[in-house]
Amino acid sequence: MIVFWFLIREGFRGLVRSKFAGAFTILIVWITLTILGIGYIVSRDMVNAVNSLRAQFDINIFLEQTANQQDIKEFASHLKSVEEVGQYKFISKSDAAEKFKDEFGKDILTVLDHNPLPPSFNVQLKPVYRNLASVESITSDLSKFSIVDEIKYKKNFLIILEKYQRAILYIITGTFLLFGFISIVLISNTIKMAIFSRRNIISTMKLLGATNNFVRAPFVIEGILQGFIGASLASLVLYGLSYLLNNHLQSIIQYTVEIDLPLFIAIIVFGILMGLTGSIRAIRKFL
Amino acid sequence: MINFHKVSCTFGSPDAGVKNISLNIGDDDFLFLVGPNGSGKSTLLRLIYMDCFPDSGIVKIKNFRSNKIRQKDIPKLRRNIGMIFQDFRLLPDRDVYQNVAISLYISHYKAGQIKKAVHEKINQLNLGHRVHYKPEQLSGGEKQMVAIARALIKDPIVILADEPTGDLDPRSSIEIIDELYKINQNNRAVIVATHDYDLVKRVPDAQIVSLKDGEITSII
Repeated sequence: MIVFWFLIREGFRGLVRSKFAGAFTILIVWITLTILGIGYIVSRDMVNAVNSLRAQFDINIFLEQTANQQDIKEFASHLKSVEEVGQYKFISKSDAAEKFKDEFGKDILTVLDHNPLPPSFNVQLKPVYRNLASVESITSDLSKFSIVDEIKYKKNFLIILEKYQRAILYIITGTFLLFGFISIVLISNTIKMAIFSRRNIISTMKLLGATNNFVRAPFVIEGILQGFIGASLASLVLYGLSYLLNNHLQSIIQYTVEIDLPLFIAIIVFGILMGLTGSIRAIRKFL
Repeated sequence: MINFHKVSCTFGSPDAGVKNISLNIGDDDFLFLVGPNGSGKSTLLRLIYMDCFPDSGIVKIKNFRSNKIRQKDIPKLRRNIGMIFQDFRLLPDRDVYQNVAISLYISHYKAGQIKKAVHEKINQLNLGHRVHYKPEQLSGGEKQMVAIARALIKDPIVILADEPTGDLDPRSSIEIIDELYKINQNNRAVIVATHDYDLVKRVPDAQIVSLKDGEITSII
């Protein structure tokens, strides 16, 4: 136990001793996590925006004019049994005429003497199935029913949506991987510099009979502390920016940022992991 | 206690290290390794604390054998050996107390034991008035005394001193050798590598092993 506290104390002392190198490591963690945090918030909101657009997606299934009540009933019960279907609504010929009147301001019967609008179903899929592959598969199955005349949906809308979503995903993943990798390399190099200046201490400790774990522990604790401090500073900056945006810049930028506790926890954990990985990577060379 | 059996360690060069060394060192021996630079004195010490390993032959220290020791057992061996170096190898950012105590932290001693033992050892070596001094505030002789305290405090089976007086003035050198002799009188083996023949004369019953080009030329 005494050794445990000794090593913890050594880790803190190392943090104070490392001065410039330690401050530089904290700065890198701070900058990286601030950028990653902003990147995460922006991309999360973009994904949410794409999802809310996707929520508006629906399929219109137009039925044959000759479809009778029994056919419609059977088709409706089939729709109910389809796994992908979230909700659906039957639009009768008269409902369609009403809708026409609402949209164009004229009664279709006065324009054409008869109502050519077919009965239809408006179908909304469950969110997870609102993608091109699922939609094509479902519509292909449904079009096999003899009472189905035509199925319409915004195919281009889905294609564009998926294209953008994929691009966003690539950008987010790429940014995270790139910044994560660069920062870990930078952190481990900075820690390596700090350790290099203390290499004589390491070799003395080893000559005195210290195990590798005994030598490693203070440096790892130091790395964790640096990661924690850098991450805490990044959290403060993100909180400050969100506060500024939400309370003072609403008249300029119509964008509300929501930062919740899990995000702060994730930043802190990520910072600690960066410090931990960087220090373990750095000390390996000197043991 | 320490046994070299036909040990060669040349670091891949015929002009370096030691060749075909056989030597026995007892529990309470005081042994000087003498010879010019490059004669193999430091290599013999390094072989004892297993900083390097023989190309052929075996070094045996108590139950540790150079041909069988596992990497993870080397720290255990070193905790049984007290080491003193020409450049002191003190931790520059720690005071005298911490420099001595580090040995016991490494050996997993308890807090109470560490405090008591360190103060005892520091006072025994007349460093009591320097307990909170950093190495840079000490004289060369005092630094080496701290190194001796650090080596002694863990109650080692042998003290290895590699040119312990190399950076010291004559008076401090004598003090250090006298201290090492005193340690030896308490039934502890001491091995000193030096090229200062005047110091050798201060220890009347010491064994003197002369080395040249990595080979033992005489044992007196």
